[in-house]
Amino acid sequence: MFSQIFVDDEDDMAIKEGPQYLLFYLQSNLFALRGELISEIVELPDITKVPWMQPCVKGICNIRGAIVGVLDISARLMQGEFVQTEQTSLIIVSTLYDGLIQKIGLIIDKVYEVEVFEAHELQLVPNFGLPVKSYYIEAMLPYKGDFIPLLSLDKLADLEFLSQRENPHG
Amino acid sequence: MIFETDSLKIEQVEEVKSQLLAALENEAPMITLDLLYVNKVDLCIIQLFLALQKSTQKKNIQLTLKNCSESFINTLSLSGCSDLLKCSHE
Amino acid sequence: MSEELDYFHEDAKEQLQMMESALLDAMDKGSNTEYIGTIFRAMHTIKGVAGMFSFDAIISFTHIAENLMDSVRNGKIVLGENLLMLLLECKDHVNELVNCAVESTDLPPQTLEKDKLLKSTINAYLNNSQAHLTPKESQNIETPNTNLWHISLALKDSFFDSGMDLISIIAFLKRLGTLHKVHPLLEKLPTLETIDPYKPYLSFEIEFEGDVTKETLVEVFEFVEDDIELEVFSVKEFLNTQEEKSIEEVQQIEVSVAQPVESPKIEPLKQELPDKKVTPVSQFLRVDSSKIDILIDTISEMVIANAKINRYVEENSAVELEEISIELSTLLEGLRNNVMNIRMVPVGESFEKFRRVVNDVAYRLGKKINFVIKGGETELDKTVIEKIADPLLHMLRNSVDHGIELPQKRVEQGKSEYGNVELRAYPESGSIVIEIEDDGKGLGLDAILAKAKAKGIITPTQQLSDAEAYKLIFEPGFSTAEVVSDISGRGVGMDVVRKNIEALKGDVELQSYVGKGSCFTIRLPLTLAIIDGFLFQVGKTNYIIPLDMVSEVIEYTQQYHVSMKDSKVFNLRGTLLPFLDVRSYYQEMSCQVCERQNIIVVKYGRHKMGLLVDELLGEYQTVIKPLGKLFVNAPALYGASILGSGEIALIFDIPALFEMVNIIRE
Repeated sequence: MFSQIFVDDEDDMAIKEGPQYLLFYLQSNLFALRGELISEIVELPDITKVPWMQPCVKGICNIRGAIVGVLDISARLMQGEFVQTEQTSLIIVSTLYDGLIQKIGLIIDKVYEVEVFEAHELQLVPNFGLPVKSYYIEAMLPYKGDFIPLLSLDKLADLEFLSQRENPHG
Repeated sequence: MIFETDSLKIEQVEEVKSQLLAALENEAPMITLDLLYVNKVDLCIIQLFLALQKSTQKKNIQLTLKNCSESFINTLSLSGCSDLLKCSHE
Repeated sequence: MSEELDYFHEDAKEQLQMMESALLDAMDKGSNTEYIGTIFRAMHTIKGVAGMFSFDAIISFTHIAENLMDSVRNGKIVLGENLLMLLLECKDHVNELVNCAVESTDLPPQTLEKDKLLKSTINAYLNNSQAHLTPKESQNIETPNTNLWHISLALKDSFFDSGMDLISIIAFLKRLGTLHKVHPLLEKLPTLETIDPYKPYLSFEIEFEGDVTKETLVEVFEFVEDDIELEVFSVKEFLNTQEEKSIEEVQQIEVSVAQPVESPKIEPLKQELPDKKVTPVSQFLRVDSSKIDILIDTISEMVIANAKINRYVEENSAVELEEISIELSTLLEGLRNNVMNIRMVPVGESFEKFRRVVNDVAYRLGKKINFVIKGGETELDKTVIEKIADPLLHMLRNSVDHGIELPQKRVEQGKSEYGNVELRAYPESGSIVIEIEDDGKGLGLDAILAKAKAKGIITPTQQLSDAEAYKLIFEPGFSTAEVVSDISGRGVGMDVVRKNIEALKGDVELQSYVGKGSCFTIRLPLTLAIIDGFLFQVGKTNYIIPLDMVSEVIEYTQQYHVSMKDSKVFNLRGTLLPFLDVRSYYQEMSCQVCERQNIIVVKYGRHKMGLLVDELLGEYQTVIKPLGKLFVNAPALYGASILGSGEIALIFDIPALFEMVNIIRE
């Protein structure tokens, strides 16, 4: 009498099986991040500077009532700072640090696409011809005859390192 | 009428009540509650059965609880209600 | 964990805590019937509740302990110091048993061992007491009669909400003796068509036989005492007193449950009532603290939404809406205060637990301590209380171990044999101060400095102020004990103490006089979640200082300029105060629009300093949000807050700022 019948709705969507990746631009280079790490992508909000931080740590912003630290990954990976345009976006990612989930915003120049790659498609990182240090790259993704570096979030948002402050007063 | 859960308690009392009411409205000369699967009941449910009994007595309907488990009968006797409700093991 | 089990756990903890307090009081002030009663009831109640869950290990142990206390209560055994220590051990042991039962783990071997040992010790006490009885005394022992009891019980409307099932209570009752009859009264029961299934209509008349006291029977129903009307009669007494009355009258009294029976002969029964009142009803409403956090978050979102209304009001000069908005502000303020109050707990309960430790340590060291707790009613955020407990404990141990001298030595020095240790709490401008003061041997500055030099904590030539010198004892590796004892450890403690306190955004200071004693002063923020802040701008950034720490605000003028030139101090009505130009310190861009600059004088404890800032924006009630791990090293910043406009303000950590500014001055 209290048993319930669950009718399984099996609408099969025919899509490529596998994890999703976000492709985006930093300056003029395409990069990728694992989609599972990304909780949302927003227009770059106003940033409040926090004093004494490293140049790539831009400060904090308000993401729907929560304080989120903002990282300029252009500055972290390459020379120079990001330049704000209409397409500048903030990717909110979750990373585990000291056993706690921390949300961090990464500034990117432009979102390109979300693409599915199967595990076997990932390629090893070569030692040369990379736009950034190989240290930050987890794998290469084959895309339209080219290879896109898949960035390692752990290396990119290494909070241990990034939280070190620069005391201008010595 | 058969109850298919192991425990009938206050959480289910509303649902049980509506089912018992439906059974009453059938105007059948006899209502049988099959408690084969029921092991745990609480006072709230026992009270509800007693209320059903009051209703059936008024309408001259015969009420029987069948397939009562030992733990159910034990619970009834602790609450002093085993003489009030007619139970059978079959 | 099921809710009932949770309840059992909470209740057992509370009972044990009261037992411990009673034991310690008995040690301090000598035993009296009140303490003995409390100890007895703790064992008794835990046994009773454990019975409902069939926790056999607890039942069997508390049963013996209860017998022991019963003998104490009847004057057959004297509650001396040794027995008090034994009972303290029993209390710990029961705690252990309860924990195992709640986590449903098997008893570890050492606990089983302890169980045996304690039981045999208790039995030895019990046997002794029997052996010493003179024939006359043994006549006085109330051999429990096989008693016939009549229990009348009506269920209040709230009964089913209690979550307790009467049937399991009756099942428990059955274990105590013989249930002769359970008779449900169905008169009020409606038919199925009209019944409210969530409302109880039944009442019960129970006939029970067992060698129990009335108190025991009443306690069986303790869990539902607010949801039932209960009357327990001994049938024998009842019949004795009522024999001349007609049966009709008897029935009347049975029916008038819980109404005082105005017969003087029933007095002996009623005398137990005040005693029962002492039996504590659980004072806890257990709420997951994350639920309160959600409430606070929601309120802060509402405050922000209301600020948006305010902005709309200003832009559109909507007067009617303004009134509503003001009303809403007042309501939100009230709501916020009430929610915050839920988190606030008096510190006393937590402090009481320290008495045990102080007594234990004193006992082991052969010292005599008079431990006083003051200001137990002072309220503090529950999270803060929980986190401060360990540091306090360590400091108290330290005071007893290193501070207080042995009784003989104290007498030689003309002090009382008993060392005084006082733990007190009181509020002070937005903070809570907790002090631990002893009248022991104190710490000499020379001794501290010599030690610090010997340990290489400071260089031999380093010059320190008194305050700085006292701070040395919080350095890693510093210990003033000449002999390392197993009680206060090897000097790994005080630096951990300081770290823990600083993690709570508090600080700790020491003042000490040789031969007179020491006083530790701990300052803690009231709460970790919401503050009343003072909002201002420096450059383009908004900052907030906790309002209680703002001493005054003055407009920056030429007169200060001169005195400030390079010195990083300024002259406030003749007093020189440290001074910080926030803009240059934090490397803010200069702000063209703000022409005026202001000085905010902040205070913390005995310290004051001035901050040079730009625009003042006034009071602002603010929810503290953590900056996150990325900013753990952010300089003297406590967190951030989201303003009504959605902008962010950084919250100053004033204690840390004082610390940093001191560093800079050196």
